Parts: sequence; structure tokens; C-alpha cells
Amino acid sequence: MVLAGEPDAFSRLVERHGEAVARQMRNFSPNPAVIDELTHDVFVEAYLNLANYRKDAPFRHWMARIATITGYRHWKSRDRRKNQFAFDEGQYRPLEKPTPGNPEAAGELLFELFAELPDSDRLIMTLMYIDKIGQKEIARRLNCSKTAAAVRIHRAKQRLKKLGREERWRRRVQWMIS
Amino acid sequence: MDDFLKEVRMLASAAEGRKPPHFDAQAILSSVSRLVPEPAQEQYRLGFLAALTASAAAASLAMVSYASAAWLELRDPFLALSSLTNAVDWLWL
Repeated sequence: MVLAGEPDAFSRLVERHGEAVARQMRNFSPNPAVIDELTHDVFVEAYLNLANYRKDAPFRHWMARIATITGYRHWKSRDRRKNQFAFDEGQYRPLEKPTPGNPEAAGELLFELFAELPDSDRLIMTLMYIDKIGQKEIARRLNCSKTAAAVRIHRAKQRLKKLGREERWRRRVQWMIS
Repeated sequence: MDDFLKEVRMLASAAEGRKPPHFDAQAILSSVSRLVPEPAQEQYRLGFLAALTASAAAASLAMVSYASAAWLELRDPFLALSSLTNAVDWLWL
């Protein structure tokens, strides 16, 4: 109906998928203003590409793929190797007193931890641990074969494990889940 | 599984209870609505497409339709007139 030019149809899509997209974009930035901007970008991208939507997959999967690409592009577009968490996110202020088990604090720590990984590993770990999607869907989102996805997942996990050998990370993660 | 990966999984579970982020459906819709082509522009595009496919009659018809849209929606007599001239040209060809 959107393709046929029905104006209300797109607003229904925004209403139906908006929150899920915003949740997904939170994986790419902790800053509410950036999340807003990225969510907006996803819908604009979706609108411009509606004609390419093939009805062989659920619409939410199609949207999730656009969201993944948009978020990844956001990471790539920034010079993020130095103090990303503090500077790259502009006005964002992390929680002053994080407490163990606090969901917001856990999310911040997870974001900070994954930000230490190279972008491609960071994306895979985000999809796997936060979005909780399996190998098949990761392959689809990354537009690669299942075998290639399995190799990339394995490598990303190795790098994450290496981070876990650093006392500072192990200590913080254990404290948060205690 | 490595202990640290298990802990990361637990950390991700703890993060599940986060409050949903704010999203402004109206702001999204208003910027998307700016991307919607004007009917007149759309008809011009169709006219151009028809011209490309060398269908003179179709192009001519589309130009007439564009001319009427230019007049009715944009109130632009020059645009309407030039579109009509184009329509005649296409028929002549």
C-alpha cells in the first residue's frame, strides 16, 4: 500500500516498527540524540528503498537489515579509535553511579566493552549478544555465507575472550553481574 | 564455553530490562513526507520515461497530463504552455 502511494500506510509502518528500530539503534550509540537521528535515517532509507523490498522475508527482517547497515555506517563514519565513549558521543553522560544489575548500567558497560573490538567484530558481537540472533540471520544481515559468518563469529569471540583476560574488563563485568 | 563469554551473556541479559529509547514517529513522518514527489514532478518523470522508450504518443499524452498538473497544481502558465508545446512536438515526431 505504501508503494501504491497510500500516505497512511507508511505511518503505520513507522508506528509498528519504530520502537524496535530505536532499540536496535541503541546498540550503535548510547546517546539519545544519536539514537533518534539513526532511527530517522533508517526509516528514510527504508522509504527510499521500498521498491526493493522482496516479500520473501518478513518486513521486520528487512527493516532490521537496513538498521544494521545504517548503524554500522555510523560507526565507520567516525574517527572512533580514541576515547570513543567519552568524545564520539557528544553530549552523552554515562551514569554517574552505576549499580550492579542495573539494566541501563549493564547496557553501557556492554557498549563500552564491544567498542574495544574492531568494528566488524563489534557488529557481530552486538548482533549475537544483544540482538540475540543466530548464525543464519547474522549471515543474512552481513550478506555473507553461513560458513563465512561462522568464521567471523569465531574470530570475534576469540578477540572478546582476549579482552576478558584483561583484569579491568573481567573485574567490571563480574561486578556488574554480581 | 569460556567463562568470560558466559559473563558477557549474563551482562547482555541484565541489559535487557533497559527502558525503551524515545522515538518520535511524527518527526520521522514529516521528514519522509518531504521525500514524496509532487504529483506534477511524478508526471513529468513518467513523460520523460515514455520519451526515452520512444513512445511518442505516450510521451505526448504524459506531457498533456503534466501540463494540466502544472496549471492545476502549480498555477504556472509558462510551464503548462511549454509542456503543451512539448506534447505537440512529440505528436509531430
